[in-house]
Amino acid sequence: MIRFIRCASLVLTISLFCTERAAAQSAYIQGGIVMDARRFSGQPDDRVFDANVSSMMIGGAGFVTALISAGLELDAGRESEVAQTTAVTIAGRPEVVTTTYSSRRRSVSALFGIHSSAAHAVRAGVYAGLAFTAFHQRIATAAPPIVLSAPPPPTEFAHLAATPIVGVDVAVSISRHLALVGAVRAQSLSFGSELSGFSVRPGAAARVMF
Amino acid sequence: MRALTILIIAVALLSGDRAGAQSVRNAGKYGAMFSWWYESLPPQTHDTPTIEWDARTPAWWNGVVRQAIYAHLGWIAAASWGQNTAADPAMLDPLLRAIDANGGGLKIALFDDTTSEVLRKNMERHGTWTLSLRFDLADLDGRGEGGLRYFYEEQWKRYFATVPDRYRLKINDRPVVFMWHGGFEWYANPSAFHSLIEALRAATRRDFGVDPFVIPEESWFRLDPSLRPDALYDWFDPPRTTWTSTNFGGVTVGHVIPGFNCTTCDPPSAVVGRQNGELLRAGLDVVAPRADLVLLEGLVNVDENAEFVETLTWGRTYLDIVRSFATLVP
Repeated sequence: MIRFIRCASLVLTISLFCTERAAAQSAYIQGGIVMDARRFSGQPDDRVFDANVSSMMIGGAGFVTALISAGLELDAGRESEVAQTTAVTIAGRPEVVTTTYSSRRRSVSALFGIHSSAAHAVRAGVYAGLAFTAFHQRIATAAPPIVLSAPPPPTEFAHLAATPIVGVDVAVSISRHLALVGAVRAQSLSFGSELSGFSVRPGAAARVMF
Repeated sequence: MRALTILIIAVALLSGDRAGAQSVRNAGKYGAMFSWWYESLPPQTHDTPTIEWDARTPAWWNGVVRQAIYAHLGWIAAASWGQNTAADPAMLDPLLRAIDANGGGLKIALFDDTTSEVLRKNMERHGTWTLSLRFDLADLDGRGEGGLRYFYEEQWKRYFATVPDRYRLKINDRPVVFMWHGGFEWYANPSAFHSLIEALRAATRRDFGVDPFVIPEESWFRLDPSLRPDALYDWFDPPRTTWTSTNFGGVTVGHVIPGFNCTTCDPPSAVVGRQNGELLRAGLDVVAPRADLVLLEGLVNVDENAEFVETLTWGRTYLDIVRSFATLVP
């Protein structure tokens, strides 16, 4: 997958430097905040990796034609944490085992976009591409000594996956080089054969256009 | 813009997957004990499975495998008793067919139920199915009260000859073999166990070209400190322990039961209540995160009321608990 990222980055970097100079815009960079609404399949009690967490997003794209862009976006969500308890009777005494599930998603997305005309102050874009996602999980168990004589250190897992991503945004120009952007990105999340779901990320950003 | 690209690539590279540092399995880490000697539901069984309990029918094998897959088990450990028993590993062909009929993904490990070697030796040599005459582990040639052949020709060889490579659970490309309890009361010269294991490895390499990944019960390591197993596990001991976690050789094996009630056993055992699934859930909470393998007792153990298949009593509660952990704590 890293080789794929390198190839994609190379293609996109070339595209950024080979933009159409005749167009009103040749490239842009943007940054903002999104809300990462993450949902995985499973029973309601099992949705310990679901989250609604804020995330920072930065990105940029170059226009390969007047209406078509190619770019990259990086967004790094904050860590979410869910604790579950299990009450069990051991040697006649009620005890509680608490397991804390923490997770964090980060994605680098290669996106191709189709935009409305740059001649208007409001410019819409639709995007599709591939998101390279790193999903980190940390699982920690705590319990009284009768249950867990030596609590182990938290267990960490890291999954990498490449999945489709789509998006839309609307950029409202407030000056020749600056626009405010409302955006939504949606991507599937699939890690191995067991854990799958999706992430929807509405957000707002500031865009600097060149 | 070039700087942004470099930054993004750097972040991606730093997000490396740690799985490469772990032992490599060819299946999910959750597995369960499996037995197949049933012609009907034993009288001591408290909870009635939804599958008609007759292992002579393909429907039983298919039903069990379907439930194993539903629970996201990666493998099952075939509790084998060897030749001329109702748990001869040479009788596992219906399991292979059921696995094929249900996606082909479920793997099998050999579970050598080591008291069976004692029983078979005594049946052959003394005409009695008893554990009271000990098995001499130093007698690999079988001139006295031992013999490699009880372990190899009558057990391991029959498993490897029956279960082809693609069905076998493997760690680091080596097929997994569990071995049950050791004990002074059943074995003479237990400190020779390591020689037995080396002989079993050599015979398996010679006949099948594979080097087994041997995971004995931890009691063997106490009986024979010269033993060099690939990993160890610790069998449950009701009511003292109902879950265990054993790290050896960089591999952690967890062992968890959903409950246990064997008052008709000889001798009768302590009862471990299921607590509506909370016992299994607590055990998995404790051992699953650190485990490389989780051996669950048992998918179909209706003999000792330790099963977690679907029943009329609890439905799929236990399958759902295992499925949940297999999804969230892979």
